[in-house]
Amino acid sequence: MDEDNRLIERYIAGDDRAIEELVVRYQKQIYAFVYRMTKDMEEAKDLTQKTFLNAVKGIRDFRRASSFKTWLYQIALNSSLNHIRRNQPEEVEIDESIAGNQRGALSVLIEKERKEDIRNSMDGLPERQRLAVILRAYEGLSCDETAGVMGCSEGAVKAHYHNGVKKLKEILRNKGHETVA
Amino acid sequence: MKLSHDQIRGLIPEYIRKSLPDDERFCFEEHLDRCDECSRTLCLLREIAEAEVPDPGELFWKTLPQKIRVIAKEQPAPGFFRQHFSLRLLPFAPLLLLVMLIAASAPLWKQRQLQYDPLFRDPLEYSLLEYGDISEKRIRLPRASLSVEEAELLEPPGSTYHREFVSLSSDELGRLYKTLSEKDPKGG
Repeated sequence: MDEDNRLIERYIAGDDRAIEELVVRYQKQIYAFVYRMTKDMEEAKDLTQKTFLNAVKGIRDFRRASSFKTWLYQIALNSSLNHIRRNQPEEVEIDESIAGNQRGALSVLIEKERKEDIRNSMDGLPERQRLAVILRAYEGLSCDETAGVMGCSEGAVKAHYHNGVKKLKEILRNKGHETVA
Repeated sequence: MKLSHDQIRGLIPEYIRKSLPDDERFCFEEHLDRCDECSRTLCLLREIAEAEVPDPGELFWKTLPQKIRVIAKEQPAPGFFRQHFSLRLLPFAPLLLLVMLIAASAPLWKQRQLQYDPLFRDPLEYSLLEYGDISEKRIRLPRASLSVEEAELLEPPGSTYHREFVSLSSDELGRLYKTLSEKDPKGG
């Protein structure tokens, strides 16, 4: 965290290279987070760039009430949610007969599909629960950091997270993934 | 160290990230051996955490920091003016205020001056206007298109052959001109 603040100070003092170092430090985490929110690589790339540009624009107003990482995740979250709300995905129906044939033919695909299923089951969670699970399980943020990003208390994060995991298990159980759920 | 089931459940992400201190990790693993629910949750969250994110490629990672630096440099930050000018301009604030006041009152002052200007007091008083810049110029009219009455107005009657000439068509005038120029060039 001290390193982040040092880089911010350097940038404000006029050293442009400092911002490059900040981007290098967090670009992979932010990209992964945005991708998990949007599930689209091109959108994730655009939103990652947008997140860093917004961060640079507002870096002088960063009050250090939270860590830079938490603040950056907040910006990424807002950008992602805005994007998701603007582009609500259309429902796509999968032809079950074709999917069934593939399942029977290739065992590799079965495992791939199972993982895809687990990933897709996240879509069934309410927004706050989904976010708490993504930030805690995927991104590995602590309860404190997750609370900072979500703008709520640690208690609320714990509740969202536990309810999210519980519901996820339920969804997977309904899909027939008993081993995981 | 003793941790409750709820506490253990909340520590699963930290366990996956291997960020638990030794004593907590030991306690956690001990609990996992006898708690089927926590074991299943750990499996599920591991699967989730291991979900692949497609790599956008080395080019993206290399160019993004530079791109951010260049774009950020092109557009000044919103706090730029506040940071660079606010305190420096403070001593000049009264002067700036005075200039702004004068600038704001200029249209009012001009309007007031116009009220006392005799030229603008009554716009219908055209006698006050000057016509020095207007000059008289004769405008030549196309005679062929004029009626007899109109031609009379331009050339008052009494002049020789006036009426006859006016009544002639262009062909007749042409023939007359030819005859006159051939036979009696000096004319009347």
